Amino acid sequence: MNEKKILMTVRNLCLTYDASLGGSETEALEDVNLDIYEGDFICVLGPSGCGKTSLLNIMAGLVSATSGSVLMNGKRIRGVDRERAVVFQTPTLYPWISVKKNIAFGPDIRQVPESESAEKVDHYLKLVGLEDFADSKPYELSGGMRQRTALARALVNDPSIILLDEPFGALDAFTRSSMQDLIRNIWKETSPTIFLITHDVDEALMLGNRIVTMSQRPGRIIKEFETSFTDRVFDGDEDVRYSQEYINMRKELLTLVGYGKA
Amino acid sequence: MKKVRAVIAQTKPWVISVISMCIILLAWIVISVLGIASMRTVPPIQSVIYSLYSISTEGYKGSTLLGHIGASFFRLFTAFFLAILTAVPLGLLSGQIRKVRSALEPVIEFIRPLPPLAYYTVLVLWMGIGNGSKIMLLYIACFTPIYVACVSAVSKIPASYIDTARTLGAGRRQIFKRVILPYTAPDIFTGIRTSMGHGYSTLVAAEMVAAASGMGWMVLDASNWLRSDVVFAGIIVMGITGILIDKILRELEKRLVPWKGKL
Repeated sequence: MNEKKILMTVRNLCLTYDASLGGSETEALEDVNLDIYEGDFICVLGPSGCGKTSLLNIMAGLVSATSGSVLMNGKRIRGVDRERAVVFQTPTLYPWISVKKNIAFGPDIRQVPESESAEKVDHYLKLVGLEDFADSKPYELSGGMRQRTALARALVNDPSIILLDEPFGALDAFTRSSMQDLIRNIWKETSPTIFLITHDVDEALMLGNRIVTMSQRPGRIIKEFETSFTDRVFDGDEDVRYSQEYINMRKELLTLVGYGKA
Repeated sequence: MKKVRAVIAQTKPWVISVISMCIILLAWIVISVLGIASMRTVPPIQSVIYSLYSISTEGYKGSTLLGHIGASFFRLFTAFFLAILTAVPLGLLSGQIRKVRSALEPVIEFIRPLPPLAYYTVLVLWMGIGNGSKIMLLYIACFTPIYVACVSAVSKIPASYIDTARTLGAGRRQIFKRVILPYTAPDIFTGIRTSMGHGYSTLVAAEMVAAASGMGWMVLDASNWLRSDVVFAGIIVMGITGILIDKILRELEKRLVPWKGKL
C-alpha cells in the first residue's frame, strides 16, 4: 500500500463562518487533516450539518478556508481547477443543451476540436448507459439519468479527482443502488480517485475503500477505516452486507457519527 | 339540465371563446338594428366595416390606414429595439455587479411607477413635438421592464450552475456566454413581452396627446369630429395588431427559448 502516491493533502483545515453575515459566528470545520492517495475511493460519513459539504467545497476551491491548507500534488490549491471535478447533490445540467452537449461541456469550453472529443464523449455516454438519450434534453430524463449525465460530464474532463457531494441523496432506493453499482464499476475499471460525501452508512460501506467519519459541528475527523466490502460486492458477493464483519463495522460507524442519539 | 351540463363539459375551450365573441357581435347588431343607441354612440357594424375599407383604400386625413399603422410602428419598434439593445446588457451587468446596480437602480425605480404621459410633457419641452420625443418616451417605457427582468433573472441563477461551469474549466466570459445568458433568456423574453405591451399602450396614449399621424391620433381626431365609425374601426385595428404582436413574440419565445419553465 505504501507505493501509492499522495494526490491531495488536507492540513489543519478550519472554517469559521463570519458573524458579520448575520447570525452568530459558527465553526463549521475544526482542524481537519486528511491524505488522499491516487486511486482512493474515500467516503466521508457524517450527520447533516457537520461541515462535509464545506470540506468538499474547500477542496474544490469554491470556498476559502479560514486557516489551514489543501495541497494537490504538493502545490497549494488556489481557486477552482478542472483537475477537481464536482458532482453536486442535485444535478446542475444545463437545460438549453442536449445530454450529449452537457457531457461535452468541459471539452467544448476548452475548445477541443469536436473530432478529438467526440469519441470520448460517446465513450462516457455509453459508460453511463445513456447512448439512446444523447439528443434528449436534461428535463426529459429521470433523476437517476440526470445524475449519470452529471457523472459523465465530470469524467470526460479527465479530472485527477472527482468530488461527489451526496450525489445519490435525492434518488429513490432502487435508482440509488444501481447508481452505486455504476460508480463502483467505473472506479474498479478505470480507477479514478473519488471523494464522496454521504450520510448513508451503507452507501459508505458498500462503496469506499476508505471511510472517514466526521463529528457533529464543528466538523472534525473522528476516525478513518479501511474496508474492502466494495471489492467483494464487485466480485459478485452481494450478500456481504449480511456478514458479521459488515454488521459490526456498521454498528461502530453509527455509534461514532452519533446516529440514533437524538 | 343534465343534458346541458354534458354538452358544456364536451365543448372545446376555443368553441366557448368563439361563442362569447359571437354574443358580443350579436348584441352590437341588435342594438344598432333596433336603434337603441344613436349612430354616434354605437355605429352600426356595416358602417364600421365600410370605414375600415375606406380608410384602408382612400385613407384618413392624408394617409391610409397602413400609413398610420406604419407611423405608429416606426415609433414603437425603433424605441423597442433600442430598449432591448441597451436594457439587456445593462440589466445583466447590474445583476452581476453590485456597484452598477447601485448607480442605475435609483433612477429606474423612480421612473418605473410614473405614468409615461407625466414625463412626456417634459420630453416634448426638450425634444419638440416630432418623432424624437415620442421615440424617447417609448424607449423609457420599454426599457424598465426589460432591465428589471434581467436583474432579477441574474439574481435567480443557482450558485451551483456557475460553480459547475467553473469546475469544468470555464472562465468568466464563457460562464457569461454559456450559463448566464441562456439561463436568463426566458426571463428576458418575458420582460421583452411586458415591455412591448407597456410600449404599445404608451404609444397610443402619446399619439393622442400630440401627433399628426398614427393609430392613436387617428382615433382621437375621429372622435373630435364625431366619426365614431372610424373610432371603432381604429380600436379594432389596434386590438388586432396588439394580439398579433404578442402572438409573434410568443412564437419567437417558443422557438428561441424552448427550455422556458424547465429550469
